[in-house]
Amino acid sequence: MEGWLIPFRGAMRFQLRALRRTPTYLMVLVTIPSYTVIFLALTDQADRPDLFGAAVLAPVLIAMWGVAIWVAGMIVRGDRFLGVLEAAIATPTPYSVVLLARILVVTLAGWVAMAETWLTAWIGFGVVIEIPHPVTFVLTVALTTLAMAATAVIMASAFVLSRVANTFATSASYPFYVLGGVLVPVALLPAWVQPLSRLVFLSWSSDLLRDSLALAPVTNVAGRLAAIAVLTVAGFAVAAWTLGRVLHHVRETGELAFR
Amino acid sequence: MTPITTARRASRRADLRATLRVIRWAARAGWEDRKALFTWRSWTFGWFLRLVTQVLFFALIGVLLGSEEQVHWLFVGNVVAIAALGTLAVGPDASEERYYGTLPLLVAAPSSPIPVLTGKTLLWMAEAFVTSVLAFVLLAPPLGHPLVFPDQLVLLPVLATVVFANYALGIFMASLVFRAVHLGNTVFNFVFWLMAAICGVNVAVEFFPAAIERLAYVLPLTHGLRAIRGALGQADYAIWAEAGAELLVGAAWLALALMGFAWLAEGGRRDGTLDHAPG
Repeated sequence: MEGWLIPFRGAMRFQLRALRRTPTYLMVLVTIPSYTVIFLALTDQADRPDLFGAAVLAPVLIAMWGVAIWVAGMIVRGDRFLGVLEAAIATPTPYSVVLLARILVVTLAGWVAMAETWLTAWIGFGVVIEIPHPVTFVLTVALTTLAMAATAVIMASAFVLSRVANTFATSASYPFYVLGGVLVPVALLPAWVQPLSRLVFLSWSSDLLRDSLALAPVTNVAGRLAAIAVLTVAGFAVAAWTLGRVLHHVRETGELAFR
Repeated sequence: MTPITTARRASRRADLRATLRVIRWAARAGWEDRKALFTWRSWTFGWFLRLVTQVLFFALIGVLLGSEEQVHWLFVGNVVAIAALGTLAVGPDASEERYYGTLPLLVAAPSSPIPVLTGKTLLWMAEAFVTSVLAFVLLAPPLGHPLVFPDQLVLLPVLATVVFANYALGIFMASLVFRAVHLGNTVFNFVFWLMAAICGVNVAVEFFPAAIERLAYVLPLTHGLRAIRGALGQADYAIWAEAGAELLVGAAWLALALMGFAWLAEGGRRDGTLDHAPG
């Protein structure tokens, strides 16, 4: 485990430098003001100020998930294009660990979206969102970032396997936004969908983030944070296993560079 | 009829035949491109599922607001928006001609690049139209929106104008991002979500300040969507006048696209940057 920390930190440093030179990693941020306008306009028109917090949080979660998925694909495609994918896979450090570190850096940078939405809400609608439960909010944000990066590694496996995996990456958006209750809480979805939703970490994150913006006390914070943590670990375990299987397959067939 | 007139007509017919031939072959190339990208399974459970859930995501906001009327408004707006999404995407896709190094060949060829790009992306228009119709038919029953056959068939030609107008904007965007291919996806995403925000997809255009409203009317989604809402009885809009306005807006964007390509070709030839794709 300790042996992985050095390459983990190295991968983070490298990605930070790459991010400075490649702003398209954060492409999704150009859509965030529009999302914010849509959600706030809808809640404002319906005269539902109680939903302003949810309307401002949803674009942030959409941006973060979008960044994580997009960047997972970009990293694998970039490594393949530059001819370093084979070398990266041949090193003793698991590729999943390197990917996690690199995705995490860009996902963290993606929290700029929060400033974007807060500003759009203030300038466009005169809405100022306050955070009555800052500790819960910050802890949820931190765990959610890690969960997103860990889960996005699963998508990276698809990119190793196929050059056209972009299709799947773009498809991994709205089904998750619906199941994850990004704007419409899981409780409003049909009963048969709810157990499935609870397996998606976003459903716990979005509920907890919304609650931390409400004045009422947040209940069962530890339990709900633990649920996100468990799903993060499970997500990364699935990602590492899937990536391991995919890499084993392409090494065996010698097709890594030709996929 | 003088022999000169006859010769001119024959020449025009030959030109038309040549253009149609270019479109046909380009369409074949576009079909092969699409086949390399999708199988029927990855299209259905990947791309189509994403579009359907996108419509569902926005329609469910109506449930959150506790209004069936809102559910239907959001459903229709977003079904039409996915037709725009599918056709606008020709922008970043077509601009990749430069990335692949085929742009100088396109400019050097005696045919205009427009029939080539039209042919290559013809399938996108058909696909956007079909996905939009399928999403409407699939989601209308669970969302409680009336599905009235054959009355709602009137929506089809209006939807076709929306597809055409957005295609024109997509081609215009291609002509712009040909000079900066790496910005293709960013510009496309920005423009689509701007339209989703201000063109009446989720809230009526009239909700916004006058300046934004004016901008919405020159974007190729507003009028077509108003015509469709009028036909469905969601608002008191004049169906055919709005559909005509949509067609005009589309024609204007197509004219701009032609100018954009002329500027790109001439500028690129003059300064020798035609095959330089930054990014």
